[in-house]
Amino acid sequence: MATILTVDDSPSIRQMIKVVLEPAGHSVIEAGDGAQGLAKAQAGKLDLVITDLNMPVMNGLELIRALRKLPSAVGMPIVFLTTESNDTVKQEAKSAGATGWITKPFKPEQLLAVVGKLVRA
Amino acid sequence: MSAMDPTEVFRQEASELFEVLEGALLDLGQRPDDRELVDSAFRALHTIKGSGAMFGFDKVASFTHEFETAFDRVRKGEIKPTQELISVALAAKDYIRALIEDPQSTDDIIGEAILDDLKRFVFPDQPAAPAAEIAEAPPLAPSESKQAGWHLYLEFESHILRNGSNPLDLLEDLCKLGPCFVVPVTDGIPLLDEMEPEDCYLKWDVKLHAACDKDAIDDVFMFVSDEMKLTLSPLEQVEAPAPMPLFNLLDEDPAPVAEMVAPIVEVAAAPVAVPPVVKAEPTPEAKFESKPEPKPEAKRDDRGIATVRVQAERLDELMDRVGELVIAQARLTQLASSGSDLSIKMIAEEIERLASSLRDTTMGARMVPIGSLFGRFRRLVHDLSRDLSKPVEFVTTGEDTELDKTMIECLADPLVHLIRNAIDHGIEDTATRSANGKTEQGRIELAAVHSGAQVLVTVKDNGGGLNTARIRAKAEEQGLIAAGAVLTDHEIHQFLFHPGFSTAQTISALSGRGVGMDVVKRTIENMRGTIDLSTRPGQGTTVTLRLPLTLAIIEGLLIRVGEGRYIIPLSAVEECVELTAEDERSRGRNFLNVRGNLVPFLRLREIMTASGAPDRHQKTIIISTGETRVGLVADQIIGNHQTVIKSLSKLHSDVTIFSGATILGDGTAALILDVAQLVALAQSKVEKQHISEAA
Repeated sequence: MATILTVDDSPSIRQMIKVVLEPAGHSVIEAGDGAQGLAKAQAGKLDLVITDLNMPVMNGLELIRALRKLPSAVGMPIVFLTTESNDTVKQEAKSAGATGWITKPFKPEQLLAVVGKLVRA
Repeated sequence: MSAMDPTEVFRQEASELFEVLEGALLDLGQRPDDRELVDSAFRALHTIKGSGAMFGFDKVASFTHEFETAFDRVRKGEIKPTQELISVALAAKDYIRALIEDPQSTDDIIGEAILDDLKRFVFPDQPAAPAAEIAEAPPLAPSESKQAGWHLYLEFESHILRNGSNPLDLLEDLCKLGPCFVVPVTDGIPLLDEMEPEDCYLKWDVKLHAACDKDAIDDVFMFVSDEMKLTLSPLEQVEAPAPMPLFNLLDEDPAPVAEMVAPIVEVAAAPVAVPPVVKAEPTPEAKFESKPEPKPEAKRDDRGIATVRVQAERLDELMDRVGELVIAQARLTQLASSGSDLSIKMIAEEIERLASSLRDTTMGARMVPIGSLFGRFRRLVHDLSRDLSKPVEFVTTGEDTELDKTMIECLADPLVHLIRNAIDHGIEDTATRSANGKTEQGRIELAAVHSGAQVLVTVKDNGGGLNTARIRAKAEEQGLIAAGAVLTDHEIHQFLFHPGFSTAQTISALSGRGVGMDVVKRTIENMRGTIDLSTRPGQGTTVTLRLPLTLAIIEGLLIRVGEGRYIIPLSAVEECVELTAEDERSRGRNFLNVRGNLVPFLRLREIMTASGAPDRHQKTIIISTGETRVGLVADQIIGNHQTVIKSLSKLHSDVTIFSGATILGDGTAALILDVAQLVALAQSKVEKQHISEAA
């Protein structure tokens, strides 16, 4: 259905996203840090990016800013994962160009709900 | 891999992270100022916290959160990572590892003790604070009393689409909460050339008929709440919404609907309730019957068309006014397009559209079916056929074809001549016909048909055809061609249009009324039409007249030659090509290769004796009259132009290559090129060339 890129330095989070979204019919691409994520986004058309913020090499905020400069990513939803519920982080990520967020910890249904909000058939 | 249990993946990942954390903490003991080590330790902690919470290790998450909070001070450089702190941190790490790998072996008391130690080092100046829980979203204020519906007004920031949010998706989500009545508010939409294609200009007014929580609505707009203005108010007067689709056109609020319907009902009721406005009082002036009949049973015109007889001059005047309007409108359009005032541009466009439709309507009012003219010839054919003892069947088709009334009048004489010729010279006498195995009765067909912006009128006989040899002999006798010159049949037939050229051996009583073929040709060309002959020996001759639909306004192609601007009637234009360098080199030869066909061309610059340097890229406009094609080389092709034809004054009656003039949008004049004359000019040049080459 949709091609979704998950960018996280934690393989378990990526795995969790994969096992939730793949049965729902999406194809999930993984990247271990922002730089890899950016390379994957440049390589092909994506419908959604789910990225962590705190990552080595290139962090989430840098990735979001870089993605928004790609012509192919204009209007593409970008969701970030955050453990903080404070608004400063959200504000910062949103002004970098993020569309929405998922607060960790999240349940599979919450992930599916957010993906469903931003990716239409 | 995808089938792997994420929890198992987390355990593996965590054990790797613990190694990273331990390594970083130990190294930090050696190099307390290494930012990289602090960051790497912090990142490991952060991931353990986040993933732990994900996979149900709540104790891991809450303990790590405390650990992380404490360690954050180190990261921010507020405290130094002392050896004591690192020891406690290592103990904390071991505790977390135990929580993940063997939770039974742990005890909360140990965990709290470690945290207390940690805090003592990190916050030396304050007593240990009670452990904070992982921050949850603050408990929501008790939602307002449930409404039966909501009235929402949505206004998004213009960049919303760029960051991946789609207002339409949000509206769709809103509709999932209950029946919605969505009205887009369009007053924020700017003019087209100020519009940023990626911006969102629409606002929405939504009536949601569902007794849902405010939270449910907030949830829909969760991600965009800071990028929009959401005005939310409970719906005041709520009636049970009728079962309706999500986007319903009808507001169920009864009052406005009633208001909307009321006038319609009144109108519909009018014929019944209101006495007829027009009393049937026959007045002597009532000439036409456009007024409604008071009695439905009264006899009505079957076609439903009321006809008004109008003096022809009034129509001419009307056409003149429309012509002037078109010129004035062209000036307005030019002025508007050179300025930046958008409202003027919009008005200019509107006027252009109106003028163009007014022109078409006016032209339509002047159109007369050609059938009225055809009828006259029935008698002519009958009389001629009797006088010449040649039985002739006269067939007409296309009587409905409409032509400008002026043109119909001008066509009468040429057609009389052509039909007369067809019977007199075309149709053989009965004896010859039967000797050649033809029916005794000859046949003449008069047909009219629309072809693009032109009307084709053909006069066709099934007689003996033109006697090419005799025409040639006559031309030689009159000295029009040298004996033995090589000419095509088609070229020979053109001598028939020569003034004073007649091959009739005996002057019949019917001819010689002052109208020869040359006059026919001139009349047709004056109407900007063309005449063409085709013949097959023994089978007959067809004369084809191509006529423009109207005399007054034509579609023209505006071109520039030097400083001057000229109009070529668009109906004569076949195509425009660039004059290639190769064509340019063939100076003197003046032939153009158009897809394998050689087409002679004229340099308008030479004909107009234009001054100034020619444009680097010369354009060639291929024009045609029937079968002959000629290229005209110009400096620039400006574009289509609605051309109102003004005839040239008597002073210019000897000007041959122009058929008229027009006024352009900027007030300057442009001359209209006479296509037939230019084609003839080109052909004579070709002939001269032939002769000079032969010599």
